[in-house]
Amino acid sequence: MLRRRLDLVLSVLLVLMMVWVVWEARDWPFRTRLFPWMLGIPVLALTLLQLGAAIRNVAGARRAELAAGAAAASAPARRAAPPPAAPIDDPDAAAVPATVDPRAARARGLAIVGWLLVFFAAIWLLGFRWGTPLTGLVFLRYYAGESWRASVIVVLSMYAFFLLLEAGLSVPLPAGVIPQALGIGQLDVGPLSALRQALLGR
Amino acid sequence: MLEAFVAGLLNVFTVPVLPLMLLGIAVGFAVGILPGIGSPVAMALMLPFVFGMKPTEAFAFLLGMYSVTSTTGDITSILFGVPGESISAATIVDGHPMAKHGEAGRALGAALMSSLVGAVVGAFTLAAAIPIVTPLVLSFASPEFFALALLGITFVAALSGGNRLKGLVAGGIGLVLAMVGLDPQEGIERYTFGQVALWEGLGLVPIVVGLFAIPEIIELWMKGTSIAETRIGKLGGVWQGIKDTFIHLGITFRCSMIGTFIGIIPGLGGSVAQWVSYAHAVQSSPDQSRFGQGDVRGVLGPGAANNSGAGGALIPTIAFGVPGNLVMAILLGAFIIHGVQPGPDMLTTNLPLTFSMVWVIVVANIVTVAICLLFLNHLAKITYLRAALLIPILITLVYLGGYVDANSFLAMGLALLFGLIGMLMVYLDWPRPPLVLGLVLGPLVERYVFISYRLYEFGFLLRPLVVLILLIAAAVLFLPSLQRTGAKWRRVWRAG
Repeated sequence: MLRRRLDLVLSVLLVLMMVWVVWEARDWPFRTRLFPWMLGIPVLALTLLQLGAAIRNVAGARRAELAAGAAAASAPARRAAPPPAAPIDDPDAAAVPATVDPRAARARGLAIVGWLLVFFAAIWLLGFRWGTPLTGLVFLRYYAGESWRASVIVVLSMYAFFLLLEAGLSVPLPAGVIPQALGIGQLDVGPLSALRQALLGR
Repeated sequence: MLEAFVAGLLNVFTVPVLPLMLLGIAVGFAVGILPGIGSPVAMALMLPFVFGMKPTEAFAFLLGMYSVTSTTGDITSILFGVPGESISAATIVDGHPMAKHGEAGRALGAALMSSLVGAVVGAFTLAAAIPIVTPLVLSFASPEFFALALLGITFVAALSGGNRLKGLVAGGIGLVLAMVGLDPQEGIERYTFGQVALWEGLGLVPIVVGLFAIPEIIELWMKGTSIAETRIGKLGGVWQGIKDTFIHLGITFRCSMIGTFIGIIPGLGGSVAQWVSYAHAVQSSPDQSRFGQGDVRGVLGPGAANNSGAGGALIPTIAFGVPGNLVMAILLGAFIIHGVQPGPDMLTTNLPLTFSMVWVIVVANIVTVAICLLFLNHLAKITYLRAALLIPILITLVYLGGYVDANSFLAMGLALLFGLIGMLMVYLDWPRPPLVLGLVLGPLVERYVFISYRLYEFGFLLRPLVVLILLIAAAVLFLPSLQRTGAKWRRVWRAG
């Protein structure tokens, strides 16, 4: 039921988005407006059809729930009630193995979304070369409970990968807000330059 | 002609052409397998190195690199669910579920062998097409290109799985997202919220990486296991995957031809070819129930098409100097650096050079597939690593893929945003491939509509080739429904 309701919410949002897409184009010159309207109006019609389908789905599920409730109330309570089954449309049931508790799986899902945001912030603040290995170390050692050995190997591989990208393939990567604010570019540029000087003489 | 064909082959095996080609393959292998660094970036980075080379050496190096990126890009798509190249994204749809079911070896074997078949078909089509391609491409103008792009959009229906309406809406949203940015006609901002970074539009790479990779990362952590949920011992499926290529040779060959043909059309290329060929694989299969859950035919189609496109894209580049895609535009730069003039010269005085390009594509793919098959066991073992060890690496690759597309944090944020949208789409059973197809084809449809209207007004819709292509598009869109309705009526009629 939760999934059907969410589907309904998404369908409403899509209709609103398409109304905005069409409305926003109203004051544009003809040639700018032509394509957004040529596409936008049929897509708006499609989203309205989808909204209708989503409403029918929710209403159908509600009717089925009411009918099931009425049947259960009228049936004699001769035998013990069966254990509650997972909802038919619970995606977690399909996405994770049966041995994993769905509630725990959902908590892990939310946690990893949080980590996605933490990695994003770390890259923004410290750049790729420092942000991802440091956050990776915290994730591996303190959140995932990996051994120091495994954590350090993964983190060093990540650092080496970014070195290869920047020094070897000249892929420009951002320094991050903090090193930039401090005026030091990449945090490790000093030691790296010294190392490059020692090894390559340039 | 035959002399030039043989001379082209012999050229490839001379020194320093062969070592340079192998070096190009090594670079292409790394570029393909690492998400975020696309072949156009690699080609652009390597272009300065070809100044000192002879034309045959330069093209062996550059084409050797380019022609293997899509092959190795498939490996990352299958093992991690992150497209190694933007043209390898369609391989994820069935390849990654196969890896999750412990069939990584089979999926990789199928992807590699179909890539080889595709590359060979594309290369020899290039060789065969050279004398006859001129009238074909000259007969196409912008109205026909518009009709072809529209034909591509109709494949949305086939990519929608069980829910055609949701698929059509997702495809429509993809087309709408493609409108974000500066209007190509008047230069007016459309749906940019005043952000200069959005003037160029929404990048395809961050959206594809986000839509497909982030839901995989979340699901992987929710399960708390490795990518492969079950083990099959010593990766026994590789030979099965190779055999699958020949069991389904029809699909492999047809998708190779689709890839070659789309590669010929300027502006389309591998990003479109992979999805159209995937849609063809779905549509032409009698049993479609396993597509999206790990059907090997869903690996064979895109695997073949994204490799055959290289040969196809070279046809207009060589014959007319019209680059079929960004990589070909950079390659055209290499032509100019070396004073090689595309056009009739490439079919007469420089014919051995043209044929050496054909052979480079073939030999580079044979070498790559052989290397991959040798180390496949080690590659596939990555899918048995614990989720915790992979998560930081995958998150890094996703953000890197997003960032390098436009060198901006906004693009990185876009990858994250579309990752969450992708998760919601998976949760609510919305198909993701139609959205990508709409996004890819949107700018093409708009461009060709305007050029056609300017040249012919609405008369462009009545050109014979346009009418023919639009009829095919209508058949693609409505035939399955008509067939189902017909079957239903027949059942009713038989039941009396």
